[in-house]
Amino acid sequence: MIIASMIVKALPENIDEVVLKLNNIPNVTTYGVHKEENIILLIEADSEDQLKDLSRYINSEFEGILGTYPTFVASDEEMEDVIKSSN
Amino acid sequence: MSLSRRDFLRASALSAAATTLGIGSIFGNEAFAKAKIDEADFMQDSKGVQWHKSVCRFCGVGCGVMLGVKDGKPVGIRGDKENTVNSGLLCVKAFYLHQMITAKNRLLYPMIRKNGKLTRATWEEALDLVASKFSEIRDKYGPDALAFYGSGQAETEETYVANKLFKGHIGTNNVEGNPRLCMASAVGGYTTTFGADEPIGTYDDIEKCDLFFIVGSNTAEAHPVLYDRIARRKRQNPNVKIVIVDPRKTPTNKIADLHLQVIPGYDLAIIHAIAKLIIDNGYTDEQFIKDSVNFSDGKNPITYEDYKKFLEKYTPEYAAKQCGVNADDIVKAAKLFGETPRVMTMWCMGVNQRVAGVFLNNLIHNLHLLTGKLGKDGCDSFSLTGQPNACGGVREGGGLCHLLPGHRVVANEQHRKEIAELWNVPAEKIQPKPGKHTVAMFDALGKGEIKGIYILCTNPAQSIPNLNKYLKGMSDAFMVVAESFHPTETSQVADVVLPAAFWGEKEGVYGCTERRSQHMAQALKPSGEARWDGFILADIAKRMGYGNNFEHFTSVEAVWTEYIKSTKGKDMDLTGATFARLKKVRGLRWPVPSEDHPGTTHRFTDGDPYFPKDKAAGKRMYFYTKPDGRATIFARPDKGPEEPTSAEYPIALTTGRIMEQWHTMTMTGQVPELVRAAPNPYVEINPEDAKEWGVKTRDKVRMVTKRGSLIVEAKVVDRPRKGTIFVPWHWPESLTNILTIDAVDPGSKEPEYKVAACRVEKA
Repeated sequence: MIIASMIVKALPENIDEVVLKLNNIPNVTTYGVHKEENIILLIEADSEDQLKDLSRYINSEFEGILGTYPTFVASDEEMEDVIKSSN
Repeated sequence: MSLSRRDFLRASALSAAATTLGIGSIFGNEAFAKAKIDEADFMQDSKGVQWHKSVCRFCGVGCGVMLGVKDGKPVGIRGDKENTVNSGLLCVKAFYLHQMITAKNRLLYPMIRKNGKLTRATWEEALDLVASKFSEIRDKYGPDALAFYGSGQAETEETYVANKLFKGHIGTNNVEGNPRLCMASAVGGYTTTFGADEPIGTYDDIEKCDLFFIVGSNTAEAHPVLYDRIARRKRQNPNVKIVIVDPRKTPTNKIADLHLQVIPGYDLAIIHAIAKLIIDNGYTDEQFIKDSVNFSDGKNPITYEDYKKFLEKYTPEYAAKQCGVNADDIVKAAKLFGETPRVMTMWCMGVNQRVAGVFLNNLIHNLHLLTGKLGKDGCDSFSLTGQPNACGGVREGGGLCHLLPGHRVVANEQHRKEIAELWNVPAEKIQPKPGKHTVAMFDALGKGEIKGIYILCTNPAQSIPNLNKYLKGMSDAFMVVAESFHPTETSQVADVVLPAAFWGEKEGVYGCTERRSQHMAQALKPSGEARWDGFILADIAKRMGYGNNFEHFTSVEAVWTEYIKSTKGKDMDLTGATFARLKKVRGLRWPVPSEDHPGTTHRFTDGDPYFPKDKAAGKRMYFYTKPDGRATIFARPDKGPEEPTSAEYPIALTTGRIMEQWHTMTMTGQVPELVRAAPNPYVEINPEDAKEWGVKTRDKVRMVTKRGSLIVEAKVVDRPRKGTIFVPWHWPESLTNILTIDAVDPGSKEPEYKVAACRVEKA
């Protein structure tokens, strides 16, 4: 499981609608609108691909989006498990 | 009560976002109440997490990244709030940073091809084999039967060790790097116009600029953090304008005021037309031109009047016809450029990856020289870079076949002497003739002229243009690949694969677009048996008999310390950027000639430590890298693409990146909307063309060029102009470079990835 936070920047006039839409995406939780144009998202995804797809989806399908900017990413999978599975 | 690892990561993620936005603690803040995370538990669990300062390893922006480690394991990645490049924001590629450290395809031990199969080997076996085989080739066929192909993702120290080994000891200038494929034309433009590579200004100019003129760059997807800075500048200052010149409508258009959607390969005439309008309408800075500019036709000096005559044919109407845009829009663009006091031009692969790449770079510089919009706040002719250390390691470190460290060239006898002295080798060991550039190097592999090659941190079996022509040569030669991952298209045809320590597992320096060198900390032990690339190369050097000059490289710092000696007194002086200092600061922008120097915001003007006030004699700018201190305005022909469209191949194919530009895109999303938004390999087709061809989105189409064909899904979208298709080139199962042309710019030797003639058929 990948856990990430992201700031979604949107035009102030579209921001309420964007928050509503974001809250409808599975495994996405919004944490308020800050400084007019910034929405904080917490994402819990099965893979990095889902994170990337989500970012692309938000950028391409939502009106009034200015950009999506990750601020944190981590996995609850331990590194040693990864190395073991590669051997 | 201790938090679960997941709750701890949730709290860390929210804290990072809150810190980036400057809204303080998430605890006690109503917006974060639903996270239900206890502050005391979080603080307790945070103890023992060490955050290590680093730099993103993807594009050339140079964003600061913090890598969190607890008990020797990575616990997370966050943007570096203290780094002024990105102030804590990252782009979607940050998700790859995490993926790559913990990737399941990490290469953990050396491999040697035996009986046609790559099999596990010891380091001793692998290094002995490489050293003995390279020595045998050198002795039997001469040094030029060997080659090194490096990367703009390698650290400066890694490129430096390779350069020293191949050019200074083996004695071949067949040393190249993948920046040849992306930045060489920018190098050619800067060196011919200004006498030295790399931009005059810095990112600081973005927050002071009033007009952004963006040419051949999808900044929103390729450099999102810079895009955010530009977009923020515009939001905060509604008078700021943005003009785009590009064959495609891209996400960058969201902030554009004017888009000149040109025919691929035909935009030089537009820049000439803007130059003509700037002169005709009195927008020039005549004093600046008088003080600081020469004119040339590319062979001989010409006068200002000659240049004006040269421009006569470039009326807006002529350029509009050449480029397929509206003449009025060219006039609007020229008016904006001329009337706006502070202008930055930014460009990227759309300008560089062309057979006229150097010319187009020169023409962009012309506009800034005509108007004097250079070397002052908010103004620059600013090339954007594709890789994180193309500037630092390859351009500054001299990792191309004609270069030596510290902005030197092999053709210059004095330069060879200086570097030979530093490397403790006879000056004649360094050949005066440039080696083979990238395309010629892989051609020579196919012809058997180069018999052994060392490839570091790059994947030419996917990235070289006209791939079908070169793949066999890579299989036939003795090929060594030092990589952190396996398999790649290149590693799977190698004879020896060496596991290299990855980002976070090694320290070193990256130099980004704005001349900023930044230190990356080692936060983790290398995975498996992986080793630092510099140590691997030094070990091979010792086994080839060159040990004396490499045995002092016992640390990364030792390599950096030797390297910066080569920059002393040069325009790119880094002697003040010692390793110890770089560890403390968020980078330094050269020239930085002493440890108490803060670095340089604008070159060639007051504030640049090498600005010669005596020679300048009151002139605002003095280009001290030119013999007379004057930059050159070039009257270059409006050269078109190597392969124009024809009756048989009527469509212009252009290639490029999407936001996920560094890896394959296996679509595993479980949300239907996400799957729709992130499809398989695809080609963008203009709706009018699609209607004519009877093609709908998701139909399979065959793209055919003179070099090969490829079947992918169609994506019908109003992005490319009619008559043009756009194909991202990332998917290894769908090698776009089978289609691209390997014609190169005659000056920069950079291939023309951006234009090829093709036809499209419904498959």
